[in-house]
Amino acid sequence: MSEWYSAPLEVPAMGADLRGDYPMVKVPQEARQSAAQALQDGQTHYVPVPGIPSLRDAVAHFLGSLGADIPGDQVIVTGGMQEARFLALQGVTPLDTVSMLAVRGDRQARFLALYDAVYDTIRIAVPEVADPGVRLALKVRDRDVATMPTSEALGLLPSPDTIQSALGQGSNLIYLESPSRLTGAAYTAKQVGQFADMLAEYDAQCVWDQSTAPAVPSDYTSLFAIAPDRTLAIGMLWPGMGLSSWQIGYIATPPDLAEAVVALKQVLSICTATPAQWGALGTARVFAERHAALLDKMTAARAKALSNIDDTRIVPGQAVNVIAINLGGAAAAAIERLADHAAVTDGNAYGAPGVVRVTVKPGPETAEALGLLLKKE
Amino acid sequence: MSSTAKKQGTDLLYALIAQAREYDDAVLLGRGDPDSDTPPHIVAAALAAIEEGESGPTPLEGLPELRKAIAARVKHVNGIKVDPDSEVVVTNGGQSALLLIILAALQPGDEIVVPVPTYNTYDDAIRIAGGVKVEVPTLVEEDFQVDPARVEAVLTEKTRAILLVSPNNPSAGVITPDNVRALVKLASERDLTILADEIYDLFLYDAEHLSPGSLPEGRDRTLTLNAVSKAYAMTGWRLGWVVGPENLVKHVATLKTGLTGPTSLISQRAALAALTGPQDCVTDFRNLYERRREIVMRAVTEMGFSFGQPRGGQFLFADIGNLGIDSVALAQRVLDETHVLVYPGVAFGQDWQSYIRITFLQPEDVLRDALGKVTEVVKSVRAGS
Repeated sequence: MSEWYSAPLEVPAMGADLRGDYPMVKVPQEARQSAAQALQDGQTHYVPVPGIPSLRDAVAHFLGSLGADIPGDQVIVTGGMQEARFLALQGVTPLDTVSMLAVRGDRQARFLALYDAVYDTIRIAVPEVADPGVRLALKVRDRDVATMPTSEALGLLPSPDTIQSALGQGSNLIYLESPSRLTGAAYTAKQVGQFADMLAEYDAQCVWDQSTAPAVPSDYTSLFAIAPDRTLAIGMLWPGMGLSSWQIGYIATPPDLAEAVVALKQVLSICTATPAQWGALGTARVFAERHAALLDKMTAARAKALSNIDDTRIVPGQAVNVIAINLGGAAAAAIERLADHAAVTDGNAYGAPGVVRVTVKPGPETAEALGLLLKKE
Repeated sequence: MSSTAKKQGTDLLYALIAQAREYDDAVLLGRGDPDSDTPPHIVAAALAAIEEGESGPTPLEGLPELRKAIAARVKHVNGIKVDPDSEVVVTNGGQSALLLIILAALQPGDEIVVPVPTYNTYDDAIRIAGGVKVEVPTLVEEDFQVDPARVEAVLTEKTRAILLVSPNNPSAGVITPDNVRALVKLASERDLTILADEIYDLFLYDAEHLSPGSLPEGRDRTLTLNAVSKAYAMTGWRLGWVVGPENLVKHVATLKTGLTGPTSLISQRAALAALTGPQDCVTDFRNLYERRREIVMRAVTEMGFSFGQPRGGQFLFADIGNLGIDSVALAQRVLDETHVLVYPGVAFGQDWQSYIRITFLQPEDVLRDALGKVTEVVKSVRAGS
């Protein structure tokens, strides 16, 4: 079952692993120091379910850089992206509803907002092309979902018309990635504004995966910033900083949903591992500066890799952490051809057969991989 | 009326915990969080792993060396033989393992037999799975023993699984080996899955623990969960596991892929050190809890309450029914007046309104002092003040 989550492929010493959302780097010293100090201080016990307060505040501060102005109380720290994704897709409703029902004497009321009502009233729509974790999260409780076709012109994102159609047909929880995890394509400010209007019109909510938003050099718009009352934003902590094996992410919620998400998180895992949280807190202090430096390098490497390529097979994308190529029926052979040199991501797992994703590394590897992939046999 | 009064189950417990956190001098006798920090040799292993700076993906099922260590542990401690490559899954703590085994065993509408009282989040997990909980009572006068005849009496054609938490939380009852054999036989005859929660299996007092998964008839139908949290004082690390037959464990792994993805590398490295390093710490903890258990038992007796003999675990479950107020009222008053937190039994189900759970997880002098304060509150209640 494990795909991206498998142990890394055996690659030759000179080979490159170009499968990640970001280039693999060593865990930063700040993360290591912070985690180590916390452990030495005895931080080995349960911590609050939604996360250590200072980390929640740090995430809220980061979200401020994406235009969202929220307190740390609306941030829940999760044990990685997949947990964030699963929790966000449960379609929880405010626990105030539960309190009202409990006053009416309904003993089972506390469960309604978390579990039962979800099945009856939540209709989920997901893009045809999305991180494999989306479908896996939905399969846990065997959810029926509507699939939104994606547009090649939009970098394999669903178009606004498609989203409107899904809402019009009754979906009231839409899952969107911006940037796309596969292609790096991101919605424009105008499109995000349209989504906000649609959500209000149809009284719907959106799970907004903005994990790689920092990889968009300019003009990124987060739906969470525009429609904070109808959006659950999810992301990783911290993109590009080498913490993927520590498994730590976040959900940012509307104010009336935080308690319900926390209640579900309790059942899922009680709390997120404390060493990972302290490591993430240490990294938070240097994230903006380090990511800015990484962004410059990735921007340059990506531009260089694409500089001599005028190939319609390159899928448009604004984020500079990945390059996606549509090789169609030639994808499998191309990946195999590349195998002695580098490992790349097969878009099949994302719902995009024929598409290959290459991580942008500051160095020659990406350009070399791209050249081999596009090489005419 | 306190805002906690309107809450139930898990919500109630967390509301009380939140209130206790407001007090600098709070004494927590409610939550199952050992007062000791994680032993130094385990922390040292984690620090070494942190310093290595290893990054990148890890296997969903867990590091191979950790799974091997878990397989060795369950063979040595529980008599359960599993293949580490295909019959072990590392999870994000015992809580995650709990939800995974419930989801693996139940489809919507399936019934699961649950001896009660039981750990409160089983209710939540069963609800998430769409399952139907069928309760089987255990009685304080029987030390909360699980009676196979009572289990058999509630089986229907919709029954798919039996949950066995032993040592039990909150009752501290331990299912006798004879009863385990009878329950496994019953499950085999009716083709039921057994879900065995054995997270307190290293803390036994005048009791013998027999793992259902160790029996020939139980091996291919039992999912067993455990974790490092209680045994090694590692509650904050979030590292547990599920072992069982390949077909069931494969399903657990698939669910884990959707639920949480892989487990934190640092926690895995620490757990490896816990399982493969010196086990003196576990013996020390057990001896410590046994001494404290005596203190708690004496104090609760002095309060005038009956209780099931705590034969396993880290707590005691006392019947306060002769006090005249329910457990929420008592827990709230104790917390308000003395800043001592005990758990009201209603958090484990409405039928346990007249029970409280008290843990052994404080130093002896603190424990004596806190229980003395609780005793004074109880005396006040009895005196009508």
